[in-house]
Amino acid sequence: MKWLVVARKDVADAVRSRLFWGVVALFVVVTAGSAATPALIPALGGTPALALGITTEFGAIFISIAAIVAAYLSIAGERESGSIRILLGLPATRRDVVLGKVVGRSLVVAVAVLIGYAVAGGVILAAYGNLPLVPYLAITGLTTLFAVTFVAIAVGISAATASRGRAMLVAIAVFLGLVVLWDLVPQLVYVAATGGFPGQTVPAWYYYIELLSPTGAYGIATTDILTGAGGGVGMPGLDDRIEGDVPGFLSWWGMTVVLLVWAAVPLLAGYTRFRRADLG
Amino acid sequence: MAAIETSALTKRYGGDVFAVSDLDLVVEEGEIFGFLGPNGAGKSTTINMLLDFVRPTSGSATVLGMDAQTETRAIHERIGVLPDAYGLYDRLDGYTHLRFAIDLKGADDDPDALLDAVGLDQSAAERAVGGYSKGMTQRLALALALVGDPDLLILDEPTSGLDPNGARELRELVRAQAEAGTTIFFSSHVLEQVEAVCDRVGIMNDGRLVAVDTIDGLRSALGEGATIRVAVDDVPDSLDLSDVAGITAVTLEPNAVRATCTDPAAKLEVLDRIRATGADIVDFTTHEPSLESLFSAYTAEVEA
Repeated sequence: MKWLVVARKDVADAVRSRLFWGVVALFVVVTAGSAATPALIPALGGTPALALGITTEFGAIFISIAAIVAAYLSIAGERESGSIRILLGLPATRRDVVLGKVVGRSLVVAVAVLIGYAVAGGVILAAYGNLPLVPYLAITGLTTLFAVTFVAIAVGISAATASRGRAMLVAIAVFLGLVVLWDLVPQLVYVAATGGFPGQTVPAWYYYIELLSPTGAYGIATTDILTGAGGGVGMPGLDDRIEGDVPGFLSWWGMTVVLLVWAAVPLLAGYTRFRRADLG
Repeated sequence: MAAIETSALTKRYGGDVFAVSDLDLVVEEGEIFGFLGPNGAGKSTTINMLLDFVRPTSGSATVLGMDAQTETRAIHERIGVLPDAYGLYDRLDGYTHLRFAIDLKGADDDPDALLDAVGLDQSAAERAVGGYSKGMTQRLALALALVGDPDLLILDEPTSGLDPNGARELRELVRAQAEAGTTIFFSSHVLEQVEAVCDRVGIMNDGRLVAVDTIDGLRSALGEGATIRVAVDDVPDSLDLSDVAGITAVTLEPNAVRATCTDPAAKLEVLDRIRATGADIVDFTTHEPSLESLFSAYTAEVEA
């Protein structure tokens, strides 16, 4: 259980960081603000479910950035500062380090998400008079998993890179690729395949491409949860967007699997590289 | 069982840069071993391989009888390490560092006793490490190495960052640890640090081990004996030192005799012989060759 000692030290270190509390504060403002938006703009015909939906729209970008920032230096930073030599000089193995880091940083980021959603829940209750508990808890849980996924990706990047600069470069590239640009890929494939732009409805394969990024998978899962909850969501469900039947995998549980795979694969790849690396 | 044993240990970077080349080194249990060499000689790379920070290109190393690359955890449970180019966690205080090391080692040390051993104040240990001076940082790192009463201390340039007083305290600490049965492997490019405490030294140059011996052994191997200069009222004609064992050169001055001795016992013999001739000894001085000159002799030999 040496990894637990590493995780505990990592949390102790993180809570002393002003950056961490800045990110928590910003996240609370973003989620609470986006939860209140439908109430502030009556034309949206605000409902609690729509408010939750808007938190996930803003949250996806913000959380992926925050999780990457919180974790991309977790190992590369220690390599650059040399503290990794103290850590590995003590009886912590490289596996303990990777495991401890991913658990420690996940915990920190998860706490930030939970604080943000606790406040957002209060805002929704105050603004709309009710809070649909099941979708609220499901969205909170899913968003936490989404955050942990990006922490795992960032720890993987950090394990694979030897310096601060390279870790940052890869993290930015991954963020642009997975969060910003991946949205365009299904559209480009659609244009290439059909010669036209996607309309009101698209074939199921369109979503199969979209789910290949964690952000896409998160979007599909939240849509499934919120439209499945029924009643005045004010946003189209998957059955409105997909031609024919909606495959069972395009659902919150299918996307949970996708997120778990996204958490595991980069982390393992990063660990494999770190395990073989010369820390000279 | 040797505390450290390497066998043909080699680390090559790129195609042909040998950081460490074919190193065979044995450090016995209980000794204080000085690992010497100029910067870039391969000392840290060797230590990094012993600690599994760096993987050998070929050859192998054992630490406390265990394989450095495959039994890393078991080794690190029993050794204390002061690595080179290390950093600490700037936001955490000294006590948090010590508790972290104690937890990782599963030890039950008293943090205050560790602070005491390295001469760090309790009030300093309550502060975040980011504000420490280089010397305080080095003391805390040493305290971390002492956690869990290790069987072997591996100290890479432990005196760097310490003032002369700190360096002296370090030597005392090293001696005390050795007396308590800890083997000490101590690298340095500052020769005096090593000369003062080490039982044996190994000299690295250009990735190779060029000599391993006691300090005295190294001196005599190079023929760089100590010099004894004896001032007399009058140099006796009957003086003959040619048959004294352990003397390599004799020079006669008008009122003094100078002899180079590779064997310390020869110095006394010189005094006895002079007295036997009936001459009055006014004064005598001895001069030991510096380790510095020994060291340059070894490192130059390799380049030639």
